[in-house]
Amino acid sequence: MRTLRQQVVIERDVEDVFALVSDPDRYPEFFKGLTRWRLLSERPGLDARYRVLMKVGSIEAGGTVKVDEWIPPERIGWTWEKGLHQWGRWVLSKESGGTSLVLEASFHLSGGPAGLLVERLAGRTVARNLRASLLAARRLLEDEAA
Amino acid sequence: MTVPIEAERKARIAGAAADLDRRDEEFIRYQLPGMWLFSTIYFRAEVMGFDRVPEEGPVLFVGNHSGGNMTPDSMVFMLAFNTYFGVERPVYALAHALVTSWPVIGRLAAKWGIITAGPQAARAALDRGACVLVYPGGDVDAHRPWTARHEIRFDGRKGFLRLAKETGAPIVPVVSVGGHDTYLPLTDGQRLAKLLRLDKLARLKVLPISLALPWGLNVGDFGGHLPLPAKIRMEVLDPIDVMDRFGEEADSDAAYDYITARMQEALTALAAERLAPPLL
Repeated sequence: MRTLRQQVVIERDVEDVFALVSDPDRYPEFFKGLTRWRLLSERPGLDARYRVLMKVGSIEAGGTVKVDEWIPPERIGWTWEKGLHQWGRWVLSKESGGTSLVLEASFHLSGGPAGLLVERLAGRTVARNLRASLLAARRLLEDEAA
Repeated sequence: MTVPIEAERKARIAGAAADLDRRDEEFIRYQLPGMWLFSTIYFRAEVMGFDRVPEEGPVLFVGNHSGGNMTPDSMVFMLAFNTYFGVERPVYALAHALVTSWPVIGRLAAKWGIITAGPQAARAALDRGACVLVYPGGDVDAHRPWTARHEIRFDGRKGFLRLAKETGAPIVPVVSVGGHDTYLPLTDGQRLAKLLRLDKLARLKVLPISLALPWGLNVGDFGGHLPLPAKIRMEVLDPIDVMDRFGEEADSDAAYDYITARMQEALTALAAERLAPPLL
C-alpha cells in the first residue's frame, strides 16, 4: 500500500477552508489530475458516494468511494467501494494565523512486483498532484480573502 | 452460473466454448499494473473519450484493431476500461477461434473475458448486462497492409449491427492508431489464404506476410512477434443507437456505411495528429 501525505497552512479560518474541501463542485478549481469527483448520492455528507477518476499515465483510474468520516469542520474521510482500492481524508486544524490543511491518500495495487513498481511510479504523479492541489487551494482561498 | 456456449463450427478449428463465468475479477486486478507499465511506458498510450460511455448497462464497443496477432490496442482498451469503470463492471472481448484454442493462452484469455467470437456468446453477454468489445473486421482488419494502416476495414461484416438490433445495446465506436507501426505488414495474403483453403481449416481469410522482430520475414504471424514501441492513440466515440436512427433498417447497408464512415472520420483525425516518424 502506498500512502501519500501533503500539508499547507492557509491564512483563512478553518470553517472557510472546510467549506471549500467539502464542496466537490469546486474541486475542478484546484484539484489537479482529478478528472471526475461526481456526487452519486442525493446530498454530500456521511455515507455520500462519489464517482472518482484521476489521470495516471496513459489511463484514467478510479472507481466509487464512500464518505465514512464527516466531522465538520475538522475531517472528511472516504474509502473505496468499487474500482481502485483507495482511501483518503482531509484533516483541518487551527494553526497560528490560519488553518493547517492535510490531504492524505492511500492506494493499493495487487500485481506482485509489477504492482509495487507501479505504486511507486504512479505514486510520484499522485503525490505531485496532491501537492499542487493544496497549493492551488491555498491560493484560491487567500485570493478570495484579499 | 451459465452454461458455456459452444463455438459455431464453421471451420475445423472452431475455438473454445464461451464460458462467461470464467472471467476472473481478481486475476484482472492482478494483471492491471503490468499492463499499465506496457501501456504507459512502452506504448506511451493516450486514451480519450471514456466519459462518453454510459456508466451502466450493456454497451457494444465496435473497434478497429491493428498490429497483427499482437493487437496492442486491444490490451490498451482492456486496461483503460477496467481502470476507468473498475473490474466489477464486466466486459467481454470477442476473439478469433485461434486465440481461444491455444491451451495456455486460451485459458488466460478466458479469465480476461476474452471469448470465441460468435453471435450467441455476444448476445448472452449483453443480455446479462455486460459490455462487449467486437472487432468486426477480424483478421482482415488486424492484418491489413501497412499502407492501409489508417483505414477502417470491416470487410462488409454486419453481425455487430444485428447484435445491436436484437439486444438494443448502444454501439460505441472505438478507433485507434499506432498498432500497425509495431511491425511492418507487407501484404495480408488474401489470395494465398484462399488458395490454401485456410478459411475451411481455421476461418482465416488472410495469410499475412510481414517484417517483424525477432523473425525477420514473418509468414502468418502464428507465433506472434515482438512489437516495436510505437505510440498508440485511442478514442472512444459518442454512442450510436442504431434502432433510434435506422429503426428496422438497423442492420442495413446504410447503417453499416454510417458507422464505418463515422469511424473513418475519427481515425483519419487521430492519424493527422501523428508526427511523421511511425514510432511517434
